[in-house]
Amino acid sequence: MAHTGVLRPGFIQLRVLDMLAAVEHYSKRIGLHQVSEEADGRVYLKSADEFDHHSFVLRRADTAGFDLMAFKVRTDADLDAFEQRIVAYGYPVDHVPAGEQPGIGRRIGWTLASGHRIELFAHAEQSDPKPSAHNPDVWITEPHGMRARRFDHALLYGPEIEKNLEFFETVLDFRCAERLDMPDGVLAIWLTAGMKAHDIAFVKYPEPGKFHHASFELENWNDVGHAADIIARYDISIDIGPTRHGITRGQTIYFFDPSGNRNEVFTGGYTYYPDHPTRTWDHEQVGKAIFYYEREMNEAFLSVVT
Amino acid sequence: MQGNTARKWPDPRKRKGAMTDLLPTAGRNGDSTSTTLGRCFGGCAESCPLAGLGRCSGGTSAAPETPATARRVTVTIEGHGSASVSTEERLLVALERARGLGQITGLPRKLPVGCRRGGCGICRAQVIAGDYRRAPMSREHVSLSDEAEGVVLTCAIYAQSDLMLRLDARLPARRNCDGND
Repeated sequence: MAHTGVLRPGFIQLRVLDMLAAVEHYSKRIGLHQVSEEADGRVYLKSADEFDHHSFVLRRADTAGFDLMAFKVRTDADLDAFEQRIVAYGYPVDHVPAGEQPGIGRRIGWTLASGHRIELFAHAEQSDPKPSAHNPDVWITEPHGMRARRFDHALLYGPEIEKNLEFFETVLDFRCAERLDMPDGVLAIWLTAGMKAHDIAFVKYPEPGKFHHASFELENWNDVGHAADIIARYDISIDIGPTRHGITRGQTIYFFDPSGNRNEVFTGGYTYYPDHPTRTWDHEQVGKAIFYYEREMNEAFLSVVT
Repeated sequence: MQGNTARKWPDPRKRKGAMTDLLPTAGRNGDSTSTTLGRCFGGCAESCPLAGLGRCSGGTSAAPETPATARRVTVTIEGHGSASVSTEERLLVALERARGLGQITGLPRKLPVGCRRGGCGICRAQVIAGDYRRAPMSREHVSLSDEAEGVVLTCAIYAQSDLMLRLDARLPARRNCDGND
């Protein structure tokens, strides 16, 4: 397998208004497990189907939204190589020491043209619960809630996403699996470091650093239906779905956490190989691109962010 | 993790265990209420690796029911009709229902509905008169001086008396924005 450099999304850190409500939402409803709560108040969570220490970080604040997203790279040497390339591209890089987050090695970080902080790290301790690696059962810890299998990707909103596209392709070796073009330029890009249809995506938006959603992968369409039952049973604020995206083909629900940060649970999506062409959508099919069954964007898609 | 006890799951609505005792009683009209940190919140009682550490609560807690103290009050949107709402439901959610029932008419624009949880700022409005209770809402959209003038996110307040609401007072913060808000 030729998968080198950036492997996958490692974790995302979000701001929440009410930590108790947030922890209940992500643990009981989404189905994550709390790994730890640290002295500064941040809470670290993971799916039982993930090996690494955590994939989701909550920080109490008086605003909701996005703090940072970190990708895991294959080796420690990758960190140094990427730092050189990022600096050569023109972005200042800072260093976060090992242990700033529990179980995570040293990180490098910088800010994109869209205003988002991105980080890379190479080392993570594993934590329980985690999958078995010997004669492995399908799960060791029984799935609960929406049965999220992993933090999968995020969609971020900000200006100058053409620069993000160039940066991710030329500096981090991502590929653009899919894009949405308007007459006046690109509106949105879906970027992948591997064979998923997306690991991170951006939509053009005037305000920098905004957050559209963090997405959790489910096993199948039946689990998407089960997630919809949970959303109704616990009166979780719904945005749209269950439905399907034309882009990525993912079957999806959008809803909100107790601080108004949008979540997605989804399943499916095509496999991307690096020799595949970038799939493109034009403005006349924008509705189908975003919500394949409704064939129109809901008003919230381009306006409701944290 | 043995999971062989064939235990009968308690009816979560009737369960009165240690965890439900920790739940705050402040009504959120059905959305998730809180519990303690440092634990597994389960649905996983028989298989959770944290159970052996005493950190798994197990089972599923009840969604809060409408408190017996809920009252009905009337919320009037300046110039656009009025709606009967409960003192224990998020105002925006009540207004969505009233819109569906045709009780709110002639709005200059669509009723602004976003995250319904105090984060996105789309439902920013001003309370002209009346008492209300606040849930957490983002300071990005309601500053301290806004707050003093009755500016709210309608999704994050609970009317406690008859209320007069202005939907479009110097508002909204970010819709069709130029990036400077």
